[in-house]
Amino acid sequence: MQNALEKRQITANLVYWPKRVNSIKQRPMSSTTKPKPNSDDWKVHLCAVSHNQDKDAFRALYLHFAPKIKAFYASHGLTNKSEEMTHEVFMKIWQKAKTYNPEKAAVATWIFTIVRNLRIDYLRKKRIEETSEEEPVLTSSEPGPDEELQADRSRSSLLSNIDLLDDEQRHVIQKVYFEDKSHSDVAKELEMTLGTVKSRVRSALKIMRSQMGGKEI
Amino acid sequence: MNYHPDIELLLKYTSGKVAPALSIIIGLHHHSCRECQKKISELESIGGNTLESIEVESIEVESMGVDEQFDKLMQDIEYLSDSNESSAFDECAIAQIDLDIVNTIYNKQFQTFDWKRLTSKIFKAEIDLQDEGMTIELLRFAPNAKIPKHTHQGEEFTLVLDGSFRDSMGEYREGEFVVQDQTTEHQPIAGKDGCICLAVTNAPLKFTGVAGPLINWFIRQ
Repeated sequence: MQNALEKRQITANLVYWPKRVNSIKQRPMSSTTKPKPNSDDWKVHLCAVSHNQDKDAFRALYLHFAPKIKAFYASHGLTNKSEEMTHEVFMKIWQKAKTYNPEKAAVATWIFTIVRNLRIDYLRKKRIEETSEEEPVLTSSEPGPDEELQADRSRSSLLSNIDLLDDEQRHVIQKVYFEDKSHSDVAKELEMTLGTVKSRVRSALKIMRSQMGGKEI
Repeated sequence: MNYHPDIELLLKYTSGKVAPALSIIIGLHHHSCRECQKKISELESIGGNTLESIEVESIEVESMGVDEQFDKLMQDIEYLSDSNESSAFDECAIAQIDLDIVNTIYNKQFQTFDWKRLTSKIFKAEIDLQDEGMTIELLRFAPNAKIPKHTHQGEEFTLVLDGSFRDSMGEYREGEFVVQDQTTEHQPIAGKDGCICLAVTNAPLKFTGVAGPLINWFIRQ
């Protein structure tokens, strides 16, 4: 019963917004360097902006993140708008700094949500303007339901976060969902077969589906 | 809460890749579901890592004229209006422009919608998002109303806003997020206090019972 319900909640691919256009330069992630989601590096800076309206701290944040944000927008098909939108991101950062909670999220994560929402806003406005010219909903290159699931990995049931994924799984999830890369692009980049990429996505989703968020709430 | 968007849907929502109608219905659930809030903030950390891991050549940085751009930025900030316009949905992945409708729904101001009668016990109010990809509408069922047997040609995402309903697979209460597709033929029954739902579909419902053709005709009006 539980299985049927869980299965029902799983939906077909509904990726909607324009696909990636350019490639993006990414720091190679070796399997030994884990990303540090709770990195404190920038927290001090952002808190200084929040509490004291510290312009030097703000400038340091700008120097570090502005080029990355610009590259992020460019890689998501917004090359012409990337500078303007990065500018807007930092206006928002300044305005919203007091809402940042250093215990809740890393600075990069908090900034990511601002970057994401401004992108959603931009595409939404554009969509409304273009509403007469209907574009087809993008269909996916998602693996079919018949495809074999790869064997379960890491069954440690106590952890309740993204760390449950091994580096390779996390890497593939990041590329497919946050860098807008197609499965075949990811395969080329990581020198894997398409099948390996697909099964890695599926095994990662499976782990996240069953373990993430925990049941303790 | 027992019914939530699947992790893959949450990934797409978190990375800002779902259609506006879907971002609204998931966002409303996100706002009220602690479990999904926790999951989404974990997924957002992947977004943070993505941003942090972008490598930029220092030459590129210099050629951008960073100093001038920063000065321009500080100038604009100086003239920012001091209005503290923050919404309760600021953290949700929903477009600013759609927040009015989200607030109206969240505050249960259902009387402001233009309700159409489908049967004596079923009413609907369409929401125009100026987005042709998906249909988003409110459905209202009288207490204990039986919704005719139907299947879904595409997928339907339902968020219970008020009251409850049940079908052969379970009972769905306020805040819960239910997905149905063409494989589920069901005959939901509204709870004793009736039910108001937000429904997002990528294809119309198809009623299959005896009165089906009649209702299908009504719905198309």
